[in-house]
Amino acid sequence: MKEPVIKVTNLSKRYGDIQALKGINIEIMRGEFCVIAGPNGAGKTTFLRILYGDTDPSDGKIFLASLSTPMGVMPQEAGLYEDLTVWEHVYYLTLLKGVKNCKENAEWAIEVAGLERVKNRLIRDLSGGYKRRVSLAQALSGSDDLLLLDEPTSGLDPEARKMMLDSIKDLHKKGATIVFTTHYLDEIEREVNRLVIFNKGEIIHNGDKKDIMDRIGYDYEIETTYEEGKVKSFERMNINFSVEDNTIHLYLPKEALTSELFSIIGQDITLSRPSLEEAYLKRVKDETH
Amino acid sequence: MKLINIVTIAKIYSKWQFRRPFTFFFIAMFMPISIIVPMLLLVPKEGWFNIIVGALIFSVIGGGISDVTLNVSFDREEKRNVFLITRNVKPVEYMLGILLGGASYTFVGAIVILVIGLIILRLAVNASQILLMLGLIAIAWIASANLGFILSLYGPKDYRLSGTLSDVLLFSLSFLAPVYYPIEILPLPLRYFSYMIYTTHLAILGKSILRSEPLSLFSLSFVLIFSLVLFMISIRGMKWKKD
Repeated sequence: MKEPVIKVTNLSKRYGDIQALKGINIEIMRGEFCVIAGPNGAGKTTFLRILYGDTDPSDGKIFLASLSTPMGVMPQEAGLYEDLTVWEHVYYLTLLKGVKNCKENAEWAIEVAGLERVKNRLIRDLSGGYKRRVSLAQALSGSDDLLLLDEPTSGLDPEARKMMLDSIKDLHKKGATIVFTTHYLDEIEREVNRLVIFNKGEIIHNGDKKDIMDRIGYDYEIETTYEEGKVKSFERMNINFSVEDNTIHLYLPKEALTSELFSIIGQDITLSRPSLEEAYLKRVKDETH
Repeated sequence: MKLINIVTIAKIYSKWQFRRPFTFFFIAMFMPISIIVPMLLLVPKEGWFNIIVGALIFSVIGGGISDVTLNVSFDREEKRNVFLITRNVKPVEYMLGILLGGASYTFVGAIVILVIGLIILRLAVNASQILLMLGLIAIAWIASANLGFILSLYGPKDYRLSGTLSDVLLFSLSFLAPVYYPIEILPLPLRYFSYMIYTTHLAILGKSILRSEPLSLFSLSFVLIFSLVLFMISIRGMKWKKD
C-alpha cells in the first residue's frame, strides 16, 4: 500500500479578517498526480505556500515524508534573477538544493524544459513563456521525488504548454509525486489520479477522477436544434435538458440512448461525453448555489 | 551554515557587474571620481587628503547601503526569496552571500579610488598600511551593508522608497558627517554629535592609516562594535516566513 508523502490535518490560515484556509484535511500518496483546482482566491496558492514553507499556517499540522531529493517548487509569481543566464540560473539554484551531480541535473532540466537553444542568454532577454520554462527547470533540476507546481502552464502558448505538460507527465511516469494547481483541467485530464477542488478556503471535492465524473449525473450530452415538438417529447420522456440560443442540450445516462430518442432527434445531432472541466464547473456551481 | 550556499548566493548577486558594465562603472567609479574632481579643483592642496579619504569611504558605504537595500527590497518585491526558502537556505547564509557578492565589486571601486588618491597625493604606502586599509574597507563595508539590511527589513516595503531612503542616508553619512573635511572644523557641540556617527570614525581611521599614525582605539572599537550590533539586528530581522 502506498504511503502518504503529504498529510495535512485541520490546516487553517488567516490573513487578518480573511480566512484563506478553513480546516483542510488531505493526504497525498507517493506517486500520485494530484491536481488542485478552484476559482481565483479559493486558497490553492496559500495551501501550496504553506506546503513549501513560504508561510506558516495559523493552525493545523503538516506531515511531510522523507524525500530522496529536495522538493521541487515552481511558484506562481516569483521573479527570476534577471542578470543571470538561463544556465547560471538553473545551475546555481540546483547547487543550493545540496544535491549531487548538479551540472548533470541542471543540463537535464534545461533540456527537458526546452531551453537548450537559449541556455546562454540572459533571463532579462527572454519572453514570458521562456521565463516560465526557466521557472520549471529550476524546480525540476535535482528534484525527482516531489514537485509542487503552482499554475505552471498559465500564460503559455499551446506549444509551450504541451511541452511543459509532457515534461511533467514524464516525471510522473518515473515515479515523482506531482501536486499541480491549474485552471485548465482539460490539459491534464488523462493523467489525474486525484482531483482536489478548493472553494472559499475549503475542500469541496477530494477524490479520483471517477468520483467527480459520477457526480455530474450524466454520461453523454447531446446537442440538437430547437424544435417545439422535440421539447414536448423530451418532457414526456422525462429527460433532463436545457435550451440555450436555439439549441437543446440533453444530459443523458447511458441507458437513455434508445432508438426512440434518436428517432425524435433525427440526423441533427452532436454527441459528446462530459469533460473533467465541465464536471469541475458543475461541482463548484453546486457548491456556490 | 554551508559555505557553498554563501558563495553561490554571492555569485548570483555579483554577476550584474559583468552584465551591466556601464552601470557598474557609474556606481563604482564614475560617481566617486566625479565628486573628487570638482572638490580637488575647489579645495586648496592641503585639503586634498580629506577629499581622497572621503571619496574612498563614500564609495564603500554607497555600495553597502544602496546596493544591499535595493537587493533585499527587490527580492521581497519580486518574491524571489521563495527560491531560497525551498532550498533550506538560512537567512544568515543569504545575508553573508549578499555581503560577499557586494564586496566583490565594491572593493574594486574602492581600490581604484585609493590608487588614484595615492597618485594624486604622491603618497608612498607600505604593505602594513595597505593591509590596514583593506581591513578598514571591509569593516566599512560590513557596517554599511548591515545598515542596508536594516533599512530594507524594517523600512518601507516599497523598494523605490527604501532605495530613496538609502540615498538620503548615504549622503547624510558622507557629506553631513566630517568625512570629506576634518572634524576640527565643526563647533564643539556638533563635534560631539559627530562622534556618534560611524563614518566619522571611519574617516579618522583612514586618515591615520595613510599618515602612518597610531590608530585611535576609541574609533576602532566604535566601528567594530557598531558593525557587530548592526549585524545582530539584521540577523534578528531577517526572516523568511511571511504572515
